[in-house]
Amino acid sequence: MSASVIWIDESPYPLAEGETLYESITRHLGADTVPVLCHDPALEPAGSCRMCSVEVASGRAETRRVRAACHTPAESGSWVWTDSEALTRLRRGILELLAADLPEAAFRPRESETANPLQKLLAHYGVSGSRFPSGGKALEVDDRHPYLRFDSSECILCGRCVRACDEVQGQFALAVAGRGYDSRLVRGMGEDFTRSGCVSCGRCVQTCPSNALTDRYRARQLRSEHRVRTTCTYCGVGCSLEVLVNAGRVAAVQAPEHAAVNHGHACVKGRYAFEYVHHPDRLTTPLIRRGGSLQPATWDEAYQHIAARLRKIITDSGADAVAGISSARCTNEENYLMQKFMRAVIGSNHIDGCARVCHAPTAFGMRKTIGTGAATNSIDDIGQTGCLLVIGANPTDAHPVIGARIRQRALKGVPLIVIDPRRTELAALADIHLQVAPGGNVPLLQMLLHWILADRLENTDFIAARTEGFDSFRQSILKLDPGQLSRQCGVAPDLARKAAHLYAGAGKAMSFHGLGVTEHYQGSRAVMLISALAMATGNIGLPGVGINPLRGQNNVQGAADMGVQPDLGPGYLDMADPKVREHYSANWGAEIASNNGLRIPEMFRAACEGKLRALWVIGEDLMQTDPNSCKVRYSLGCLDFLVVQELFMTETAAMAEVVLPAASHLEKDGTFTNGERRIQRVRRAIDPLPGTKTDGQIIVDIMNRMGYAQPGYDASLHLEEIARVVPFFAGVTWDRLGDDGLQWPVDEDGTGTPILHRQGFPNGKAKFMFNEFVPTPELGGDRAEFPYVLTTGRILQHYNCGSMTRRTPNAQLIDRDYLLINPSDASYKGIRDGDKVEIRSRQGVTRITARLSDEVKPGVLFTTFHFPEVAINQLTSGIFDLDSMTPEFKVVAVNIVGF
Amino acid sequence: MMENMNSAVMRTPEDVRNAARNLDFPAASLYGAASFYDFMHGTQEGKKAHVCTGTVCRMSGKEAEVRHRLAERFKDDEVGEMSCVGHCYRAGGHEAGGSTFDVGDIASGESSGIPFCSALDDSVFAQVDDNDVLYRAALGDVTAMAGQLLASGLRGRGGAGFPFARKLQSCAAHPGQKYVVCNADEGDPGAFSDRFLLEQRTGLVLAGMLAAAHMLGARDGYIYLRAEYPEAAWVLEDAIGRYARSDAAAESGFAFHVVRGAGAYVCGEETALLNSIEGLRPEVRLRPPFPAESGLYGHPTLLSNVETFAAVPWILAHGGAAFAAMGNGRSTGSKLLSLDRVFARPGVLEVAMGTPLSEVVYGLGGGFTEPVKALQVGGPLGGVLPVGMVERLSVDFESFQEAGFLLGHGSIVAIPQAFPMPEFLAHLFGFMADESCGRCFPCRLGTRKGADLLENALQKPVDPALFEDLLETLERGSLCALGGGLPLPVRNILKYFPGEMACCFQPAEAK
Repeated sequence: MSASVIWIDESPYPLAEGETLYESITRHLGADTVPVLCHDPALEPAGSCRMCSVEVASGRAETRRVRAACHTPAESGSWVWTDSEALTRLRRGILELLAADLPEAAFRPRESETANPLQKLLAHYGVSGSRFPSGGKALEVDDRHPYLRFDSSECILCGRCVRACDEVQGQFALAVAGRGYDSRLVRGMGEDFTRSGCVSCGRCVQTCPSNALTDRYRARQLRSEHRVRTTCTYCGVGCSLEVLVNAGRVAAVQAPEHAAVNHGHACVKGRYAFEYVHHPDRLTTPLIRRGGSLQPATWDEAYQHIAARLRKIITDSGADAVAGISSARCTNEENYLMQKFMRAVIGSNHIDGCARVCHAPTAFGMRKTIGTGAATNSIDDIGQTGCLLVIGANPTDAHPVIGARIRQRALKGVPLIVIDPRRTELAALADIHLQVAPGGNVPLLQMLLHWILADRLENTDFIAARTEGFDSFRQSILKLDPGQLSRQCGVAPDLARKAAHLYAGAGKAMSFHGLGVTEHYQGSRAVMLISALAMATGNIGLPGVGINPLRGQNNVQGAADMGVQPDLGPGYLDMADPKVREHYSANWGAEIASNNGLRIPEMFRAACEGKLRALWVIGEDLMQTDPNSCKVRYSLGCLDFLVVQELFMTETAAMAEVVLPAASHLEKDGTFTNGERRIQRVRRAIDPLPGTKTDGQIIVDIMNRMGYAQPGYDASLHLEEIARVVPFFAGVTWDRLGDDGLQWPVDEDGTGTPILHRQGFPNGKAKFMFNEFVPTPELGGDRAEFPYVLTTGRILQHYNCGSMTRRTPNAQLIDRDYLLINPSDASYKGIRDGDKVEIRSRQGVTRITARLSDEVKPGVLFTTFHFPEVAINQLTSGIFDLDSMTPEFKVVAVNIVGF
Repeated sequence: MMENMNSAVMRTPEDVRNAARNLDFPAASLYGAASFYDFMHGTQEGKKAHVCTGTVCRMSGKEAEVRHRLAERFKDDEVGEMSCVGHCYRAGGHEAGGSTFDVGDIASGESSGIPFCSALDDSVFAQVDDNDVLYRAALGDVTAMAGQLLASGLRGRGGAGFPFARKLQSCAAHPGQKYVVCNADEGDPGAFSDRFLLEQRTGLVLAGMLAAAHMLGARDGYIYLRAEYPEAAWVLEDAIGRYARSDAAAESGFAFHVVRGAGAYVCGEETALLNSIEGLRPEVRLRPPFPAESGLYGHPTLLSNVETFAAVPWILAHGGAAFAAMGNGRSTGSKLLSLDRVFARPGVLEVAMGTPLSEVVYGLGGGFTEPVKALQVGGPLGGVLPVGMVERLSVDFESFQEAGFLLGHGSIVAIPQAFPMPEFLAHLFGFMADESCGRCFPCRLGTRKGADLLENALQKPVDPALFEDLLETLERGSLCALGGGLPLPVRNILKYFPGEMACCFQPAEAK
């Protein structure tokens, strides 16, 4: 007999290194072999409930001892009995003690619900009451939170919720207080959920084995007719969700425990903000502008109207007069269809998407340096890295599940460096917070590189073997004066030096960046410097390293992959290349447009100039989310024909000639590609609301109306076509994607790629690119009129223009945009917390509620852009990234003019 | 962390929020930890005087007198309770103004010392005039010192009796920064021998810790001192101050820290103690890993009891063989016993391991001053033995274990003939219910339900089958010895005093 054997219930089983008895038993005999209450395999064992007690002996006839399986190491050669009369007595004894304090209703599930783990065990062991005296337990109901509810009468103090909050979310909002029998679960300091620092991620509810912690939807225990696994629509993390459906309505959402991306975690948006789907504001009929107002119409009327208008415009002004803006909230298949519609049916390369207002500089900067504009590594690599560098990103709000992972690692001592003008949650936790002045990313990154090179911290082997352009790059960087760079970026040279040493000395360092890098005058050039940091230190092509852009919307990656940009078609093939056009033409059976496509800001300009006459917009509220709203309004007003596909009547839809009611992601099939290049299935949980159609079906319909024979919207069918057209989708099929998807490039045989650039780069070698720092014109000239710098971002509870999240109970958590202002600025201006203030920029003016906070330095203001009442983009600037035309949202010269 | 928590004000949620911000600790976690302790956030917070409610004081009947005297100086709501202040040799213990007293001190208003008597010619715990001599000896040749400690056979005096040299070896074998921690949380009601050592043999304790630190290369040592021993705190601080100015401190670079508890019996359990120092809820940790591998802040930690450390200087001075020669087989050296006020000669008594218990009780202890029916030896979790069994036992781990009892920490509480056993048992269960940490279900629920049953047993007799089920659940299911150990004295009482206990039990009607 080999050494690593464990005898379970008198049969031998192989033993794995370092596993507990529980792990060993459940691995071989299934999860229900040993009863548990306090144990959740996703959390550290607690050894509290003792229900998992088993009998252990060193041999079959040796003395048996009772041990809790959840935390007892399994030892080779030991004998374990999972059940016996004595164990049953013990388990029943524990349950009877619990039962003494349980209310009658806790023993059996409600009609509409399934039994929770406690109820199952009570039933299994036949405990329907207790011989012990009841009473003495403190009773409390906390139901003041829009989603979360706590009822102490059913709380068994197993501590799973506390561990979930500590170990998964890292929020420490829950604790057990008091001692012994008088122990009780507290939110914050014995207050309630709303004041506890809780971020409503719902992980505590998901793990609760009784009904003590529940949510508004009773998600964990609810009986449902269907359960559908799909992918979240709220950010580029791409969490897997399980949607519970009853009577054709979305009843609740859970996070699948074994999902590759989120491992049972989710955030307040993904888990709870779904009620917008059934909101009465949903558009459910096409609208056509007649006599100045939008009037209900049939689909047929709408299509006829559109087709006629488009044909006329093309005939009169050419295909060049028509443009399309696709949506990163839509599926890959829909984005593919939209660009195909523009290129093959309309005959124009005027196709762009919201990446233009977010990560276009990432795509550009990374392609120029390492050859691929996508995250080099996987989210799970966070668990393996030796240093985390977060640049211009606020993942605990904008990418919460990744934010929580980073938080956990930082709490466990992995060095964390945060570059951000604001002291974000992660910045407060970081080893080093480089509080850069808005607009100062380039000189700060140059300073980090300066110290790495000046202090000889670079990885010479990697540089020699895998990069080019280093020598001249090095010379240019070393010529820079740290003192001068420090003045330009507002970060002390010594602190930057410490950070440089931490990053370069970690062995494995992983960077994350967000729109705080890209949405700048020199956004693309900052991205090239982030590449240079990784290249200079050899942090590419290994587990736990790399350059990892945090994608804003759920499918920004996918939309770009599918060719939603004017210059590059599906698979990033250059539209200027005739061979590429031939490739598409062969696949699409149509002549392919060869014009120079317009990017979104160029579309606005062309509209003003009368060159662009028709615009088709899918799921984007340009009026609220593009900069300089006043100019956007004017540009849209110049168009002859605007078509908008939307869920709700947005500011942009209100300007359209035709509005088409679209279906949400819960009402359609398809795929999203998340920030780690993972292509995941989106599955229809409910039918499209009556009167609505999926965006894909709408495009297909209009393609057919325009004379192109396109089969109906069918995700698996379109995916087949995409796999033929896009080289890195070669092995992707609907069935192969399964529950957890595949990371591209996907080989013919279906093998995905968790880590890019292990061997080489697409262009052979990675290229160091140096650019001089050029300060943004926004902050140039006379600043006396606009002495403050406004920067914008997202908040946890809301998503972009807020059209979805504002129509859920999330609005009860946060009901407005706030302006963060440093107390010293506030006191200088005489502003008190909660005052309404008026802020003005060169572009516009708005009123907003002030909140005093030292998260921002004096002179810097911060706000979100989720509420149309504030419409902060009236203020944002007309400056664009020099290389990719992404607007500079993050730096606006403003003044506070009154309140 | 616990040091900072003790000095933080935490009365209102706003206080806790501020303290959390200052200590850079999550507010809910801080509140969860602070609310565990009697004197930090519990019922006893902010009281100006405390009456001892330990077993001996309870049985002595002196409580009324003490309360009466305290009422002269304090308002009703300023007087709280403590268990136990370690004045069991006279009883009537109480605390006021940072000092502890007993009935004997009421007249004078001065706290008198603990009587000490050694039956040995050469006491292991003899007074030493110059602590510096001890400290110098503690910094000797490491290999030689380890050899002597191994030869001594010294076993942990906290009650578990784990070989000290093995603990040292195990701690030394794990890499990384090491800590030495002294468990001075002598929570057993009836025990006061550690209080004696801390207050009157301070140098021995410190030198023992220093020797261990020297052998391990540890730089920091923590003495976790219970809040109920206020005098020991300033005696320790004073001795540590002197040590810090000594050559030994300069040479070793080792620093002592006193961490004061805040009223929680379970902190005497070693892993709860470590959590307490770290500012976490002092709940029992899962083992393995043991502290020698992963202890304070996750570092290898040598954690031992006061008396164990205090024995080390004698061993280093006289050699391990001399210590081992005193003993009785596997129990070597001498042992301190705490004799309560019922003995004719109460106080701390040092005897060689293996000394017949009858010699202790009737010889050295001078017999009883009133009729006694049973002894509880080794704290509330120790066995309850009828006086008739005294003749059959000797003071060593093996003798007690073989007879189904525990030597434990060596406290001997005499249960007077006149004190009702049902009341003793209810008090015992109630104490455990109050002190259970709550981490594991059997102990958290079982101790309270058991206490509730016994409290009303005279009006509503308990079903013996139910009680036996409860004991079995506690015994087999509990995470640590607090819940797991309680059935031992309970079963002793049921076995040896069935007549007295009969009134509490009555089988339930067959269902």
